[in-house]
Amino acid sequence: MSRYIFRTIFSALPTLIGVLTCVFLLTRLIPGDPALLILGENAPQEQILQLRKDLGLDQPIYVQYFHYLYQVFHGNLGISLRTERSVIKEIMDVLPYTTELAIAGIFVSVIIGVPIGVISANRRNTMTDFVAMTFAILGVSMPVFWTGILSTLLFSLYLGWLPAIGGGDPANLIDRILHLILPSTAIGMAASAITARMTRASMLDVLHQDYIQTARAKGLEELKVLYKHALRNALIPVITVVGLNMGRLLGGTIVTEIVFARPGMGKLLVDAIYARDYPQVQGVVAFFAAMVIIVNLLVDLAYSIADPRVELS
Amino acid sequence: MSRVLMRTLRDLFLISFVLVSFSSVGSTENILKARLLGNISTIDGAKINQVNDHVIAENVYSHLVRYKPGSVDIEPDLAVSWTISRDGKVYTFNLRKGVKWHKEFGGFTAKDVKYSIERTLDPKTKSPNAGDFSLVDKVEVIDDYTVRISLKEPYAPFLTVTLPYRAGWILNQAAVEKFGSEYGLNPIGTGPFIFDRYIPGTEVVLSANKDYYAGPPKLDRIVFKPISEETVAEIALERGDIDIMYFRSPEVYQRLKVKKGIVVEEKTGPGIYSLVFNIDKKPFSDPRVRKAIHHAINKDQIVKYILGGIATKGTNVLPPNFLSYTEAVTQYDYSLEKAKGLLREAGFGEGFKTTLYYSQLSPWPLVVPVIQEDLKKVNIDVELKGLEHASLMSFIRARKHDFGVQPMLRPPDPDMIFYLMFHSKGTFNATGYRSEDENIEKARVEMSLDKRKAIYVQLQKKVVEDSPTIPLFYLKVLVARKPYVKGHPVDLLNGFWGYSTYIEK
Amino acid sequence: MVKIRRSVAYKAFVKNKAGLFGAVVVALIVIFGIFAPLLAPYDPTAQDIPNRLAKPSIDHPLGTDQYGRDILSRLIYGARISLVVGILSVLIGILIGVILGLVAGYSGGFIDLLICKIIDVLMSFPMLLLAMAIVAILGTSLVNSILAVGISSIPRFARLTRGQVLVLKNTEFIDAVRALGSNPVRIVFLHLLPNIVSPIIIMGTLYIATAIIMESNLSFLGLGVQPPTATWGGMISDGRAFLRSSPWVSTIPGIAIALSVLAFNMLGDGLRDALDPKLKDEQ
Repeated sequence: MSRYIFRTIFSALPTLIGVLTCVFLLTRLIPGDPALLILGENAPQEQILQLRKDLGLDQPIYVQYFHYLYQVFHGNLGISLRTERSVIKEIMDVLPYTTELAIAGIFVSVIIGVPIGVISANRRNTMTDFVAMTFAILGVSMPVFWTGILSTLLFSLYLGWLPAIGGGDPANLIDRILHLILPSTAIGMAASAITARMTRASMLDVLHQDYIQTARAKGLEELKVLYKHALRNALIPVITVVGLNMGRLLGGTIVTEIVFARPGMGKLLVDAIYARDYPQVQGVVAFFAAMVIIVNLLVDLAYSIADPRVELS
Repeated sequence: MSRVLMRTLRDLFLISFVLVSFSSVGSTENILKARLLGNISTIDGAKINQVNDHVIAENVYSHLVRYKPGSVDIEPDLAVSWTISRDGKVYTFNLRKGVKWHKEFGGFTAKDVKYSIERTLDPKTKSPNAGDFSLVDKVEVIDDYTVRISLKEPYAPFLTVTLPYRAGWILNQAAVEKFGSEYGLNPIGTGPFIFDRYIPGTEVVLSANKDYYAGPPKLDRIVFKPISEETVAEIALERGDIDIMYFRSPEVYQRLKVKKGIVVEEKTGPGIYSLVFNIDKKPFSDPRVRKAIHHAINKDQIVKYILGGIATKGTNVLPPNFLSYTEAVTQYDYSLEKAKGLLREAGFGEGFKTTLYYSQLSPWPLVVPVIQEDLKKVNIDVELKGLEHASLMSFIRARKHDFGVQPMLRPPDPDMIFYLMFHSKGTFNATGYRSEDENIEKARVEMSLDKRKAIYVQLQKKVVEDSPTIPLFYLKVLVARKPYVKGHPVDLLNGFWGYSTYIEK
Repeated sequence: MVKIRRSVAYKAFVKNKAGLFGAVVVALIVIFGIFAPLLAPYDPTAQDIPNRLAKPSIDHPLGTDQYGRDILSRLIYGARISLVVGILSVLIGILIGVILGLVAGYSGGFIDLLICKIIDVLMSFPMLLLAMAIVAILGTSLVNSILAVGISSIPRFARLTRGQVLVLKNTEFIDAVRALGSNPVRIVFLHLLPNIVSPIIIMGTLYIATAIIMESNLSFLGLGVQPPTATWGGMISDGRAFLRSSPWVSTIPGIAIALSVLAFNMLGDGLRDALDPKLKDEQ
């Protein structure tokens, strides 16, 4: 078991380095001299040369690369051009908001998606199935920012039930939850569509298995058959999908944070892009990708715990 | 009844009693929830150049002399009296005694004044407000409560404009040195409010300074919430998530004006909102091109429809409420023929391409697409590039643009506009204009009011004629608040006077 | 007995309907896109400021936006952008992704490992994030939008192709061909490729839907094709300030996006059922 854990973590490491390399290359592709970009064309030549030296731009590219890797693994993602604070600090300040949004989104996708998937599987090819699957396709078709805007219009403006913006008072848990409802539903809807389809497919797979027929033949009530036997086994691929969805979900937080004016990494990234704050863009992108890798890693590990068959491969 | 039960009941009673008394303590606290137009970057007085930082700083710091709340007349703050030498070059201030710095940083003395001014002037500080003190020769501490500032030349607006505005905030050396690079988010001042807490993207909390020299403020706390979207702020105000807001959207203005339960106040502000050309870059180096563009823009349409009610048309580089404002300047009427004619003369009959940099802060995003369309009609292909507000300000001041926008909101002295925007050493010179340096300097040091006025009239005529900038509009300052917010004067200069404000429910 | 028969018939009927619906709508959108200049009643960038924020009327069936521009015309031209970005980006994804997948799947060994790692790395970036980063670096333009969305779709096509190749590689069919002594390149292109065309077409169609949403995300954030060019995402973003008084400005483009994406999704599903009976098992 521990060997499996080791192996999994070990294989994630090169991916992480690959990600950092990508980010490094990406920012070296910026047209123009970064020092000029920072100081402006009218700056005196010595200042520009000095800044290039400070930024390490006068070194050959492979030296810069290893320097960059070294810095990242020591937790240094650079200094933001706008605020002059360290990028890591800026990220840490808002990370809790993005994390709670992503988790809430997954939560919503599961509590909506799984039951729908189960019901559709049970009543396959009936009207219920059709309606549910149409809903699923619709969920995937509507852009998150649009459903977000519409739900703000309905629930905040017309009905006044929920707050329209912000993350809520950090000290007040209820306030934070209220502020999460609309955004997490916006993200969760799209993800729930995928979860529903996956659950349905997986359930259909399982429902045909022999042991289900046996359970039915034994006279167990339908509900018990569904939930105790079928769903448990069907859940495994669903967990994988949910975990893989995480990447997509994290991407969804970007737009959702803008629509709902929530603090978070997405908003940080967009602000950095508008401000041409390249160190911050670089740092946030790398951090985001690293988060996805870690989540996938955790899902892999959870998967192996849930399904003992896995480690043998 | 069993003893256990009795005891449990008693405990429950006590707990609820305690809870109730705590909550009632909460409800008698006077807390104001106000809107910030965006996030803060730094509350280091020497480094502030955007409105959100200014709002906080104005409540945390004090000046030697400050603006009377809601007006542009001055009154004593940390200086109780002063004398000006005959030649207008030496200002001697008698300072208030017994003023305490926040959080046990000691008592305020003349050394703090000297430190603040010198720090702003120090090139290492990279202060955007250094230009305001360019005429300062030296600052001397005469004794603990007397400080003398000597200028190189007499500067009439020194007292009325420089000291009460951003450059004039007084900082504490021990605090700046203690916090180092983190000082920007741990500011220490002598103002009516203490910088309590900052949660990025969520709130900035100021708490009352009980030791404020004029007595503690009526409010116990002000919670500032950054809300950059105008309609979102509008909803927040209606729902009571905030109690008061300064805002800029014409749509919001029209809706809130007629809304029950919301009070809207407006005042013409001392701000000028312009398009700026980098006159060192072709084709804007040719004045005919600049004038052509000036004629091509339909300002009336913008002001009437896009800005519906919140602005007046800009015709002069000085706003109308400034000393020496005159209407006798070149008028650039909306005329496509004149525009095309001038462009043809300059050899650009076929038009050209350029990029317009603008700020994301309202109302620029609403206005620039109209400019783009207006210029399309004279074959000028404009690409729009939006930047976050603070970044746009740095961008144009470093003259990285060819064509951009420039909001300019300063205390109403013509020197603020002419020196900062049109002098070669001006820190807000986004055009590179330098042909009137001499006259601008003459006007600065002229102590006779009539002679000053005359020079400025000439300057207005010349600059509008040369058209390095196109004044588009003058914005009103707009405030929307709930009726229970009292004592709040509309601040004309980006400030937020928290001291006299209070809530009466 | 009756129950089973009814459900089988229902199933076929429903599926056909959906696919057909998708095909029809997609065709309509493509027609709108191609013939935009003929179909749009107004120039999409022509401003008519005194007439701004007009409610839908005979003159302007879908109303006007905050600069008086006709929303219907902008919608039609916006279809162009969505389609162009959607289709071209997927083509890029297919072109590069399929080649990568073929090479990885067929070669096996170290090359396979290397390419798989590259795919893993690219897939660690959420699609929107990668697209945003590319646009942040290269700048905003139509070409860059296509590149950005295209590049972020490469890993998925590579993975799909590789999977298919792995399955086919060990079939008797390929063994036979190999026994005949054909060179690898011929095997890959003449024999493997034709067999994976259907899943690629299906995935491609479904991916156009995703690409359209990606494009609208980018233009909503102001990182897509720049104004005054009409884009659906840009229209929604611009209309936000007027949501309370003139909600149609933001709502209508959203419906357009949802409808197009729905259509492509349904079309893809329909194709899957038609082209690849094996995949029917999922149903």
